[in-house]
Amino acid sequence: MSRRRGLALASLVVAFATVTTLVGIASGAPPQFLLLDLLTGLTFAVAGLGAVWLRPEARTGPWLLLCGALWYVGSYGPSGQPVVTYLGFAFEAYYDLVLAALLLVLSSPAHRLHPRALLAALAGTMLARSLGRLVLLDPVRLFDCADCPPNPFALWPDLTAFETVEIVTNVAMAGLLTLVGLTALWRLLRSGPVGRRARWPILIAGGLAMTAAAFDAFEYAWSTTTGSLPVELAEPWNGVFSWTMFGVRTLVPIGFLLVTLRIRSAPGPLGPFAAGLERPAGSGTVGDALRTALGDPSLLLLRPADSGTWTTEDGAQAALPDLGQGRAFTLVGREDRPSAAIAHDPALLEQPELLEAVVRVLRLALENERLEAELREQLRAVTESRERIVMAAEEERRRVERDLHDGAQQRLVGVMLALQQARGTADADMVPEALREQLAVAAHETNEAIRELRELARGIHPAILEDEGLRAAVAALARRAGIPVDVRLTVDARLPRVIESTAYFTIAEALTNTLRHAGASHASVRVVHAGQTLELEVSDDGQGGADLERGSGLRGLADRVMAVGGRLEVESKAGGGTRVRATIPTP
Amino acid sequence: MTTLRAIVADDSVVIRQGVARILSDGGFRVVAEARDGDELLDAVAAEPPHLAVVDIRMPPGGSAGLTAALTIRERFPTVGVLVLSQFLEPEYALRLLGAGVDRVGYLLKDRLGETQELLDAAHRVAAGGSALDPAVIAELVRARRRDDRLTRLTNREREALGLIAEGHSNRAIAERLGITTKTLEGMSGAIFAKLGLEDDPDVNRRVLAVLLFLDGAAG
Repeated sequence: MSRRRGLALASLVVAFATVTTLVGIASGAPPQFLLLDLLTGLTFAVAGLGAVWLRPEARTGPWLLLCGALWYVGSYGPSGQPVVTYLGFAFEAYYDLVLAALLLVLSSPAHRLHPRALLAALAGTMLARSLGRLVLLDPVRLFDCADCPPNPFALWPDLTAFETVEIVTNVAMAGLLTLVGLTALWRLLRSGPVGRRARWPILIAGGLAMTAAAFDAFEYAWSTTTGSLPVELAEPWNGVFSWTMFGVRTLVPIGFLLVTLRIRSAPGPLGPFAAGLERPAGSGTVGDALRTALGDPSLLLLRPADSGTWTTEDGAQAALPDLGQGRAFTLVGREDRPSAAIAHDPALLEQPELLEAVVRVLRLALENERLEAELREQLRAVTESRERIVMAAEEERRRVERDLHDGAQQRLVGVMLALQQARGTADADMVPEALREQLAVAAHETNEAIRELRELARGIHPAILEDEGLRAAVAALARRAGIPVDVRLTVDARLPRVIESTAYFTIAEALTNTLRHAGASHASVRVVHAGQTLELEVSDDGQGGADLERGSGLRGLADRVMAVGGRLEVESKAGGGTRVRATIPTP
Repeated sequence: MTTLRAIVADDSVVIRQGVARILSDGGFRVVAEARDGDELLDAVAAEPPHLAVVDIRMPPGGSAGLTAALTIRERFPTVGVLVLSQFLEPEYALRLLGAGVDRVGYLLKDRLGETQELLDAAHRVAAGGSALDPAVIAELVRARRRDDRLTRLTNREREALGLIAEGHSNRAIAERLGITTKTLEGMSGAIFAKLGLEDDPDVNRRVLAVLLFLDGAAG
């Protein structure tokens, strides 16, 4: 209900109250009675308006306002207007029906009116009482009450019938109202901590309302039967009693208002929930955050598994019905393809805003988690495939180097030996000088080919790296550098092939850059293997200005180092020398 | 004079037979040929020769040649080991040498085209001396070329130093340089003095001193 309508309805109640009070004053009703009557009705109005104002979407507000209006229905007795008086008498106390309905709705887990039969029985009974009062009672004819106004609706005035209906319906009402109160109490006791925490005021308010109503009905029945009140108290106790009853009645709307507000302000710490989700991903953590945020320790976070089953946080698989006992379900994400579901205390359905907000955050969190996992998986796959590519390339280089040495080079050596032998045989006088010279040229060329092949093979993959390790290979690099190179190498054991070759080629490329571009007079190589890190550094005293982004050689180096999970940094200020530093993780 | 016995080990039959022929022509008696490390060790154990010519890279695993060569040096000190290699890196040679230069040689396969060089080295190793490939020595010298002490040497002296490191005898060096042995002795005294080394009349110890000096750069 909109606030404006609430305000209009409340104004109507106030108008009723005003009229009732004015009528009461005019007919000389006792002021304290008038005051209490006025106050109780207005309390409903204020509580109803408050509920509408603070929770426009809740149904409590309009119902409380309705109660306020109905409150005054029975207050027109003293008006002297027969129609108003008898209608008022016949239809008094219907606010009890509304309160019973409200109590049943608010105490039910899903906020549904249930059991309807109970309320229907109550309504039927009350209607029967109203009908009895309307058509069976005519005090003018039945009691010879000359002062009493005649009942224009009394079609069949009959005292016995009236009294019978009055006793039966009032006893039934007292019983049904008590039943409603007990139903609410039972539900409260059965609900989880969330429901209990939010709803204990309803038990007080509703219980008081039902008790008061039941007592009223019982009092009617009692007095109709015996002609006296069930509780006869001497003054001042009689006054205290009726004041207490009125006080109790004023507590009822306040109780309902409290419940409504409580549901609104009930644990809704979305902030802490969101913060809880920010902890490292893992369904247990999300579940914990949910349980904390919704205040429901029994809550289960479920992930969709195959064929309509769900996976619980501890990894068990279960179908919905098994998990559903005493729990409500809320799906997260699309209805046909939920990303998760939460099985929770049904009482949380009373806090749809909180639930919806939590579900929204949860959906984002789960989506985020899924994307993150996907990304991680992709990254892992890419990293692994890159490593495999590097390994394969490495393996390929080794194979080519071996093939060159063991295949082509061996054959060339064989050719050389054959040429050598031919030259030895050709020393005889019958072989022309030209041929012997050509043999010598062929031998020389073959020799050169062997030498070039050796250089080529070493460039592809130095055998010394595999045979003698990083130390020897780096020493060989330093020796051939062309400028003095200090080598400090602290590597105790052999490292995995791909790491050794990555380190070797990094140093080789860095030294090549130094020789080609830096114009350095001195370089130094430092390699330290400590813990699970191989650190290497190649620095020179050259002109600097090298850039990782510009030189493709450096870029390739960085890629190569990254492929084995390492990092490469180049520090090269103009005029300040160049320092290439790589960190490679080792087993 | 007894005939020098030799074993040739190489997984390439062309090279094995080529080397065997060169050795035979040069006065060796090739008593066995081996295709891999195990065959070589078996043959050496069966009848330790004066000389084993070993391909540095042999099956199994490619590194069996060098391993077998090192094993022979350790277990059969009377057997001269001449390794034929395709690797210029002095590390291989220095590892083969270990602590001494007795009966050991390291030649690049290029030398197979220079029969006389090969035979010369083979004889030196078989006789208890050493033979290191000039190209490998050049690598070592290259690494030290900026060393103050090395720059103090004259070109002629540096040439002599290389020949000493290769393992040639004084007479052979003097012959190559075209000087008398006497002159060479004087020259080598000067070289050792300039390098801050102690001259030693024993050839092998002298070679070792020079190699250790040259290796200083690498380590």
